[in-house]
Amino acid sequence: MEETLERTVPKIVTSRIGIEGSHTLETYLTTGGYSALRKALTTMTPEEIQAEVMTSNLLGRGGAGFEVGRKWSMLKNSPLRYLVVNGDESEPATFKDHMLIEGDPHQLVEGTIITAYAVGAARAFIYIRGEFALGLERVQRAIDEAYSYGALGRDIFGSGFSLDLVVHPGAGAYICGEETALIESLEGKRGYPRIKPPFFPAVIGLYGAPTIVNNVESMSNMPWIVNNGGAAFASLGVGRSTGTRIFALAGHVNRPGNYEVEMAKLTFRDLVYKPEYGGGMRMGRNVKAFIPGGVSAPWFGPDQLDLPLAQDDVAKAGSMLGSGSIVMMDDHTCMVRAAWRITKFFHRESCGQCTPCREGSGWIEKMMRRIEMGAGRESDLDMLLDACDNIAPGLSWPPAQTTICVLGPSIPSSVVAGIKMFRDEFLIHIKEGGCPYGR
Amino acid sequence: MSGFTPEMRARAEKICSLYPQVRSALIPLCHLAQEQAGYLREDLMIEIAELVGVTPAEVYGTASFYDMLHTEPVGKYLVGVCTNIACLLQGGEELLEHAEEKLGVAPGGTTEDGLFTLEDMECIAHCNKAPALQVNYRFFGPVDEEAFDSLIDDLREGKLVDEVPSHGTLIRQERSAPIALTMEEVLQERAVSDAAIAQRKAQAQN
Amino acid sequence: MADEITFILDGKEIAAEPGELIIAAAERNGVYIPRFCYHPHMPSVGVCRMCLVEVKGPRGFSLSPSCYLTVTPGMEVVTDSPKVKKAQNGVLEFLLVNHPLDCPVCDKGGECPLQDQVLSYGPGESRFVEEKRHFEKPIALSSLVYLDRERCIQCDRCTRFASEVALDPLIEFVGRGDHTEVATFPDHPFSSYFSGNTVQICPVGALTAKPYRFKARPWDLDQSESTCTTCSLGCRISVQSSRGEITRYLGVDSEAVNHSWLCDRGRFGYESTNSEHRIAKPLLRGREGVLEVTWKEALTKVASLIKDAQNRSVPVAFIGGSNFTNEGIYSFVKLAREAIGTGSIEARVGGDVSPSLIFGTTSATINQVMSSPLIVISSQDLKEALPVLYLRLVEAKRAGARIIEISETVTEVSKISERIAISQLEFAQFLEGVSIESSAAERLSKVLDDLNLLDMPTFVLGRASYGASSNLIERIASRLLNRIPKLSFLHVMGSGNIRGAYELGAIPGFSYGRVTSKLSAFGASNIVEILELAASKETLLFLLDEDLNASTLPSDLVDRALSSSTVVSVASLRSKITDLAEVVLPVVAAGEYDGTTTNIEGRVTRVSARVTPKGLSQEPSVIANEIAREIGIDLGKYEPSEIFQEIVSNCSTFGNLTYNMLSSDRFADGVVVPLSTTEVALKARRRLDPVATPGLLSTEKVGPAITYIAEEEVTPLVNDGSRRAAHVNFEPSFDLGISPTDSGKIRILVEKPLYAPSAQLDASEAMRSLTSEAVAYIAPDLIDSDRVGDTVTLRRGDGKEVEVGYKVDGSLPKNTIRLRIGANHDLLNIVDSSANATFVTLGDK
Ligand SMILES: Cc1cc2nc3c(=O)[nH]c(=O)nc-3n(C[C@H](O)[C@H](O)[C@H](O)COP(=O)(O)O)c2cc1C
Ligand code: SF4
Ligand code: FES
Repeated sequence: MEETLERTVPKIVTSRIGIEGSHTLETYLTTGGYSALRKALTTMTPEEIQAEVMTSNLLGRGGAGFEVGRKWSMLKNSPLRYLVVNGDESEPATFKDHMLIEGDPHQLVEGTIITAYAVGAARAFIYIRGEFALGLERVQRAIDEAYSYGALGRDIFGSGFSLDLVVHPGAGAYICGEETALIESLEGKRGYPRIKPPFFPAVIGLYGAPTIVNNVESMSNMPWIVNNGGAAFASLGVGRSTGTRIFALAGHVNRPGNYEVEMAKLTFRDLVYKPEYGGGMRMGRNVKAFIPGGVSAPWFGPDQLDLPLAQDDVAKAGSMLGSGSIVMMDDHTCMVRAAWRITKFFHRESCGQCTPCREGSGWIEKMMRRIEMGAGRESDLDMLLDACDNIAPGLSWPPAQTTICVLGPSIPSSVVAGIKMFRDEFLIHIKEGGCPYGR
Repeated sequence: MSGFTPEMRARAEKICSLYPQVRSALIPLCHLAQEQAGYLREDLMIEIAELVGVTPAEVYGTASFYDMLHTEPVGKYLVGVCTNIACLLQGGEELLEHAEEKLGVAPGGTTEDGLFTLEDMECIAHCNKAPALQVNYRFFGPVDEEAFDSLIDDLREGKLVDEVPSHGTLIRQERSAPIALTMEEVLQERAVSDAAIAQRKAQAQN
Repeated sequence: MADEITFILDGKEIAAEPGELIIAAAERNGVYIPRFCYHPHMPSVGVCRMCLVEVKGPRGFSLSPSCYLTVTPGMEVVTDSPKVKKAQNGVLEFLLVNHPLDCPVCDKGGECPLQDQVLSYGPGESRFVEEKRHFEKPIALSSLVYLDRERCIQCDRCTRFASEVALDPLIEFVGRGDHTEVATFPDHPFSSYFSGNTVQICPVGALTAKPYRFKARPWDLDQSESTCTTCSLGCRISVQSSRGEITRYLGVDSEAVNHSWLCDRGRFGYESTNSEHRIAKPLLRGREGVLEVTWKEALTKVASLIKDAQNRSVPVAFIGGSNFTNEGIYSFVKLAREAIGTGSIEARVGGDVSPSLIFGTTSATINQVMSSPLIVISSQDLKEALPVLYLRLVEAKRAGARIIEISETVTEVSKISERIAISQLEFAQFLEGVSIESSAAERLSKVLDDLNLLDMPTFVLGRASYGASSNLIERIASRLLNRIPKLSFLHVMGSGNIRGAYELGAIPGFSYGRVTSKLSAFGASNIVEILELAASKETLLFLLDEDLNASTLPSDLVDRALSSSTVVSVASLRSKITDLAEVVLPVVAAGEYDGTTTNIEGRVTRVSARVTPKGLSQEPSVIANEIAREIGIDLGKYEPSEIFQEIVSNCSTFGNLTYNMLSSDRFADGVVVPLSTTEVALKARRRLDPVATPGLLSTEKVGPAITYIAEEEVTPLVNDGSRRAAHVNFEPSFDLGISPTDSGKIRILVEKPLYAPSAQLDASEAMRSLTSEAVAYIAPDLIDSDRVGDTVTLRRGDGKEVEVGYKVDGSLPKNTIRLRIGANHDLLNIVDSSANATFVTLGDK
């Protein structure tokens, strides 16, 4: 995938993107590949690596934004532990891992091996959504090359550390991105999330053994952190939001794409309007609303464009940076339709295990579709909010939940935001029996 | 019609050997089965059950959870048009409607010649190329009506055999490196590796 | 309890056991939390979300599934806040989104937890105007269970039962989200021995049992608590009837025995009670054929046959009776031993072990075995013999028990056990110091040593094969006791009340109360000898509701015995035997009589009459008494309760039990005899949870399952040793040997599957089609891989042979054939059940 990328900010995970043959071992080695692994295995102890990652304050890039180093430190001691890399990337409008997987698979593999060493994993798996056929091929090839290069298998680089790494295909189910559903899926089962608490994967994970699950982008940061040190990483960004991060910008912008930027230094407005990034809204239109972190996140209006791209600021404003996806919607967008389409997604992707999510998602989608099609009633809006409240009691952020996993309370995000921000538009659909935007 | 071909069986067994617990091979083997037969034929599900040590009902129950695994026959080309939010904003719905017209089938349907099955897909992570679609899980985008028509025509004429192999995600993904360590060995090796680490620690202190 | 913990429930401090789930601890303290997916005997999944309560965590109170979280000391739980109420309302409303409102036509209507909970916890009215999902009408998951997918609420109970309780993962969730449905693999039906339990635990009307569908409405049901006597495990059941017909059995949550489960054979066997195969009137064979007669005529005839036999010194023998109550057996024992004067009364048709093994060793209870960290088994496949015991083993395994199975064949128990692959003969040899294969010997030694270290070591022992004498296991028991003096045994036995038959003297050599008695003048000391006698010499043979053709006896022996003797058949169902009997006396069937029964542990429980007996059929005790009266002897008591009191006074093993006591709340799960000090204390009986066991509570509105008598009104159970059973020495017979020349021969093992043919199975409409086929499983070394044809001929040394269908079984040891009894009854003709082993040759090899 060739990408439009800013060249002046530090490139931690996208340095090879756009280079011809970036996915090959040859290119990887000529651009410094596997030097971090060699350094880690032959000169550092796992504890030292863990300490560097802790210092870097790298926040997980999969959606929850939990400190990677802290997660590792919670791993239960056990002779058998596993590392699973989450490459399921299915959060709508998120496409950064897709780029990393196809564009720099060796970096992902190297980061994974470093992590496996750091956490003492007996075997590591990279779970990649089945729809990434090319990605699966490239990561498989990278793994095979890594074996022949001596970076995988027995006694890696003569360090005494051995590791097998397996790339595992998903088969089309968004919920398998949720780490416990992913573990179930990797065990060859239906992708049902497990109930947490009492047990998190770091205590009972894959095959019942303590397991670390980290995102592809999180892993891809490891070679740089080992080579440059956690402090160098932490010196980028502001506060808890350290380092750089890829934002996947989509929707009504002139230049949709993945942009690796220093965290917290830019605002949403910068990302959307600066020519080296989004280059402004399509056809010069105005922003009506945007989704700051994947469709699970509550929407923001134009007022929030000046928030910095920082985890805590966004959280304080009532949403999340989530998966790093930003969807821009211009003033010609039908918000009922947008919200309905998102509920349709959750309805289709609910695993069906727990009642509020399984039944609530379908019910809410049906109500939303009815309103969008012009058959809504005014009382539907309160009913919608109440149904949402029965999934995410209180409708606050971060949400409470009656469900097993957080897919449930993601359903209300867009519905509630839609009704709160654009109640009039919903009422027009209801009163005029159809969509004012022509549908 | 009975089970995997000898080559597929060999690949299946190799996949089984990659996991500490063989049931983990279930989904990869379902992909293999689709590669061979286009969909999860019953005899193949039974063979997978036997290979991974579960009942056929468990294979069926598990496979049916996943959108990519088909327990009914599908066309030679699975055309999946994304209509999720980013594509929706860029005309994904309209593209899907056009596709329905062009192929003459509704989502889920297969053309009479058995060539195409149309699917209405959730986000395929190609949003910067919206509206996007996949054919047998190979990406295309942005796709307008014209591009769609010529894509279909090319596929019909067999012009894209290299870009779009028959389905089965694993068709071009065959692992060459065997697993280096059994799980028992891992535990032994761990001791060796721990010793090496301890030695490095000691050196660091000196 | 010493290690009890406390937590705060709705502001009150209450006690809980460590590891107890919030939902269970609350329930024990009188706070009922609504639920659908939770079941006390299955692992929790926490999916329905009905049991959400507020639990205080580091970030304040949050809604949490009370079925999934265990109580921790000091935990704060709120079950009745507005937040909890709203969540429960919400869940119920969500459940109704796709659930049809067809309660008036639903089998579950009136006893439906969903219906009930919508009334108690649910929203007032439905706001749902969208269309619900639709499915084709009910589909058959198997020949016994139907599924209405529209009604399913995806609680995962049936699927979880199948995969985790029964280990038969043949039904699965298919699809995703609100398209999830329960299904089998195409053409692979849900053929589990335990499928009926899924119907019992379905919290809505999605799963229905074919025999019950549309038969009754819950509010029309009457019920009585009783005991299933299909096998000798004695599962507690609720027998329910409507308009004078039994309509279904439900498993009762008996802590001691079945934990609410039943096997299908037991659950649906009541169909035979209702069936047209029942014998409604006494029958008499005359010159014009068989005629229906009055009881008077039949009894007169029986009396004259007895008198005639006595006059001419013709032997009189009684066979069977293990399907009767204790009272029925006792009455027939009195008839035989006291009124007629014959000691030839033999209930051990299945060739069970010698009384000295049962009387001379300590019996283990089921709970003792299941609560042991080490469970060792040497017997036939327990899933076939005592199906619900298999479920208890699975449960014990899940709770962490280590299960060792000593078995040369792979059984269903092998799934959950470490198998030591040696035959019972080798096991006996090992115990006697003969060297066997070294790794097996090593493992065995280790296991037995581990067992010896336990405070209360137990052993599950039974015949592994009907193709070898039961003396083999006496030998094993005796040697085990030498090694592990504290060892107690759970004996795997045959049908129904066989254990009661031992205690009550329906066996040669012992009369009731474990008192030795002389064999009759004719000297027959077991079933085979009695039949040989009958075959060689004119005999008057009483068959006590025993279908000999369904036994494990050779059919040629049975045929010879029956054709050369005069047969009086006391029977409930038509069979080949009733066809040739001189007199047929109709006896009651399950659900038609009161009394008590005894299970393999020696547990005495109540059985109850629910419906009036079919036609003119009578209770066995009445029949015995009337026969006695007809020959001029008065046996005394008729009423089961009175007979029971007589049993107690005549059998010291029964201690001071009373009939009333067995109907009391405290002893509803029975009392183990001889009264034992080692019985693991039973917890208070779990309230009949309407969702765990649907139907019980609803019908309790009509009449309680059992008329519980308050404990104060019951004489206390005394266990002071004052009425100790006469001591019986365990005297195993050691006269068996296997000669070295046998080693190259083909040995056959004989096993009886759950669905072995019988008159009862044949009379059960829904199960008839499940009757097993006879199959010979053959070790691969015995068969050419390119062999044509699907049958083999097995030939015994004396030339007897049978032809039978076969399959190759790679798990068998060399030179062995495993014969599964089935419709071809002649199979048993080549079996020598008095030898250490049966050897055959393969006809065409
Ligand atoms: C419904 C749902 C979907 C998710 N999908 C993904 C995903 O596609 N990729 C991912 O990395 N994390 C996903 N997550 C987050 C993971 O559960 C997990 O937090 C993450 O993989 C941890 O990695 P990190 O700590 O490196 O971010 C998802 C979570 C939920 C609840
Ligand atoms: S059934 Fe339960 S018990 Fe289960 S989640 Fe539901 S509420 Fe809990
Ligand atoms: S199924 Fe888990 S939240 Fe819905």
